[in-house]
Amino acid sequence: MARSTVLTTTLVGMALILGGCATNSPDQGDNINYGEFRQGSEHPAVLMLFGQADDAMQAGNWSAALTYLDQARRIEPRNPYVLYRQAKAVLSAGDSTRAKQLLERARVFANEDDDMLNYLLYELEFQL
Amino acid sequence: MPGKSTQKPANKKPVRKNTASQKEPSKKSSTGAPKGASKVPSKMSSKKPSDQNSRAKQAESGKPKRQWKGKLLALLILLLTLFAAWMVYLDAEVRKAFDGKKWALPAKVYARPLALYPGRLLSPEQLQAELQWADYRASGQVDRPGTYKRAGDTWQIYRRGFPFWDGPEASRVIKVTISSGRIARVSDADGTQALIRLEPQYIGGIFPVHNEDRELVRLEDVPPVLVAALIITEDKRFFEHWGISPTGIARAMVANMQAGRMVQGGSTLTQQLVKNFFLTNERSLSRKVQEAFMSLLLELHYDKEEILEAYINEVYLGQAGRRGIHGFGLASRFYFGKPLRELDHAEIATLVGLVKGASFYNPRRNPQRSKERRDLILRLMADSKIISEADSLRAMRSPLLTASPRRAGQREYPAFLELAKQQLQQDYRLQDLQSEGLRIFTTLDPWVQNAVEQAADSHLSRLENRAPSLKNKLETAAVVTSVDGGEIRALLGARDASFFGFNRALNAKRAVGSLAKPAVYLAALRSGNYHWGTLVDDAPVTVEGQDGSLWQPQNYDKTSHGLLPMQETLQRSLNQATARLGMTVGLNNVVDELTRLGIRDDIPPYPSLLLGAMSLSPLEMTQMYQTIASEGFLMPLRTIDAVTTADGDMLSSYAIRGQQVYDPVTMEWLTAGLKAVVRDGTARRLNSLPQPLAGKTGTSDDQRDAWYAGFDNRHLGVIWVGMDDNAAMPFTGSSGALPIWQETFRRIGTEPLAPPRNLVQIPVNEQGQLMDEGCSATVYEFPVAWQEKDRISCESGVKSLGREIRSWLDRLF
Repeated sequence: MARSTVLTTTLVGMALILGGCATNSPDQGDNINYGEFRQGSEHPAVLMLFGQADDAMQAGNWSAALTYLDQARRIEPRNPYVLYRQAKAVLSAGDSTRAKQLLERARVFANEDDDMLNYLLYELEFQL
Repeated sequence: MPGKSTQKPANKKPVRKNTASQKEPSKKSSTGAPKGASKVPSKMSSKKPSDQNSRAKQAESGKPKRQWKGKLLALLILLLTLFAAWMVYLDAEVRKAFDGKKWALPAKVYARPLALYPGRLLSPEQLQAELQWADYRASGQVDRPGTYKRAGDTWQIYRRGFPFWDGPEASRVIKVTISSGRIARVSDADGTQALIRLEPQYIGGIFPVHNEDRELVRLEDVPPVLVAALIITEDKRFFEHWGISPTGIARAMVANMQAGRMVQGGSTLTQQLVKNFFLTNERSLSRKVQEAFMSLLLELHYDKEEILEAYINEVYLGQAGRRGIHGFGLASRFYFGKPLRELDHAEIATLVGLVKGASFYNPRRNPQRSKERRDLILRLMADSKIISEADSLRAMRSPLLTASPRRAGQREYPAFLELAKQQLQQDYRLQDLQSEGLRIFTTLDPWVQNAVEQAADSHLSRLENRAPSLKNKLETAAVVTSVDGGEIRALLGARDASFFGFNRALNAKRAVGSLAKPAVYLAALRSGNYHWGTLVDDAPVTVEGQDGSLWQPQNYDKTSHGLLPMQETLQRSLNQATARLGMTVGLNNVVDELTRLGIRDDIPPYPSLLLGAMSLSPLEMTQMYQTIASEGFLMPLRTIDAVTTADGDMLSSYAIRGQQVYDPVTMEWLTAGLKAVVRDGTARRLNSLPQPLAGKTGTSDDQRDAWYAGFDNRHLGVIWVGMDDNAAMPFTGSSGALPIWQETFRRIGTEPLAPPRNLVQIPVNEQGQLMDEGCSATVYEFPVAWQEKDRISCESGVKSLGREIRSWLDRLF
């Protein structure tokens, strides 16, 4: 349980970094908050589902979060941020092996952020 | 798992228990009562009165009389006790079944919901079809759920409310604008929306043994007109009697005697319910007596509304193949394609008419008889002031219209359901699936399923026209999945898509032929010694087996083609070149690739496997190509998205899972070869579709099996055509299976493959040597890392490397 918490914290931290890297919107400034992590897509439907998934995550309902994210994945199947969030959801549910697999999948599509995801996978590996 | 902890429902088991244990009291009475009764007359007959001592005689004769009375009383008490015990037993049975769950509710299986969002590929034809299959009606006024209107590119749809797995959604009017085959805008009363889902289509159930299906309704959701019509037709005094109606029985007897045959039944609604609910169809006096007592007990414990609600949900109203249609809720959807509360007077009367005989008055099979019955009930409804005379006449004039039995919600998808059931049983008990009313949300895409069914049907007919001796002998199987998620979008297990039987997609193990060849080329590419421009010798090859037998494969055209670039040997599916290549890279390496791609069967490393001499099902082949299409992600092919309880609480969700088993660069490189198969090779007839696409044809020995496996940017499709007796056909993969894929993808819309992210183009000369950029030579695709390899300049001419390769190959064979 404690290990999951550590992993989740690590992943969320990395997510915030990734979210910040991915967005160039001028109104974001330096103050990265969780809301900015939603900018992993510009598709309105995907953003809506990200929001629903976030709400479910905050309510501790990982299973529901995963289904919202899977709907997002169908719309943007090769968006690494969708897969990243799915990894986060399954990790929160305690399945670190599956989280690692999803991150490896995300890496297939994460061209510019390879270093970040590699680091994330390294961290995850270290924790496992 | 939640499924394991679900409560055992009260189902039909009490019926059997009831019948068996019912015999016990009667056994006791037959062994007890007659035994005692037989003693009484024997004692009486042994005592004869004497003339001499009359007082004594009187005293003696009085004694047995008292004894006789006493025994009679005891017998009476015994019988009463037994009767009371029987009543207590019946009462317990009635209450146990009625207080708990009354029915085993089959799991309801749904297709995927149609997600509407800007940018989605959606043709007007698809939207029109999906609306019709979901029982939407075109209407001038979009004023009630289930109606829609099209005005040019804009569709106005009154979407019904639906309990999705992630929460219920209320009905609402939406607008969808389609432009150039994609959704341009989705909106509702609140303005533009990012995403709206249409409710999914019902595609089948997981039924208990008797295949009873029903959709439970509450009495308050039943139109009062239907309730009134049911009562005046079936049991006028329902609200007055106590479960049985002596006057009704008497009236029925008189009517039957006058007619000389059975024309009227005397059963009340309560008795009918008891008969269906607790008892068997046996026609005997004892069963009638039991039915009467149980009816009285039911009325004693429950009010009329509860009994009526149970009746409305229990009554048998039709048959759809193996599926028994029970209750007005399901019957309304089955016959009219809409919920009960949306029925008009004529439709209500038609359904009520079915109670007397669901088969006899079936509006589809016996429309005239059904209409006469309907009109009779409409007349009764007017006479009883349930509806006005004018409404009654208007309803009688309306034609007997039923929803099309061909629409999606009316039929099942046996092949897909079989796999879904198998996958569900990994997490749920069959008993729970059959009885707990679970809602199963699947990955089936009815539009894709419909496309593959139509394509298969029409192409097999064409093939049979070409070869009349094969009429009705050709069979087929198909699997279509999403490239990135491994979701099964369509599954065809037989030519007759509605057939509940041998599911070829899952269970037909057939020789895969050239469909296995990509594993050989993958092993070659991964060895580091080959690229698509490397020369491979398509020359006769002989391999001696351990038993001394010789394997000497032939090409389809029975000729050898000499040294050719590896890409060409794949795109032309040359057997000798592939066999030679496979033997060079090593059989075990090829077996390893097959295993890594997802083939779970044990594959012995015989040389013939290089040309596909192994038997696998279409689903197994789909698994292999899924890994290629998804750039190396080995994922389970799944049919289930989510499972909820009958109340909508989510029990499980099945999002993407899998393992990246190949570097995506390698898979892109392999796919480059498969693209060439479509662009210039055996699958080039697909050139009529948007390009690029990737795929491979397959034909087994003697053309017993025709295969095609191919993918675009969204879907992977694997098609098999052959005969169950494994006979040879005059067709190849290209002519037998490929056209089905082609037609399917033309119908569902083809999205060209995305450009490779990790490959570069490098010119290669005729000897297979890499040349500098800009040289005039054939260009092949390479991983970026190959840019660093030594190349020859455009001017340096031909080095002797080609000959070196040839002599190297010749040394091996």
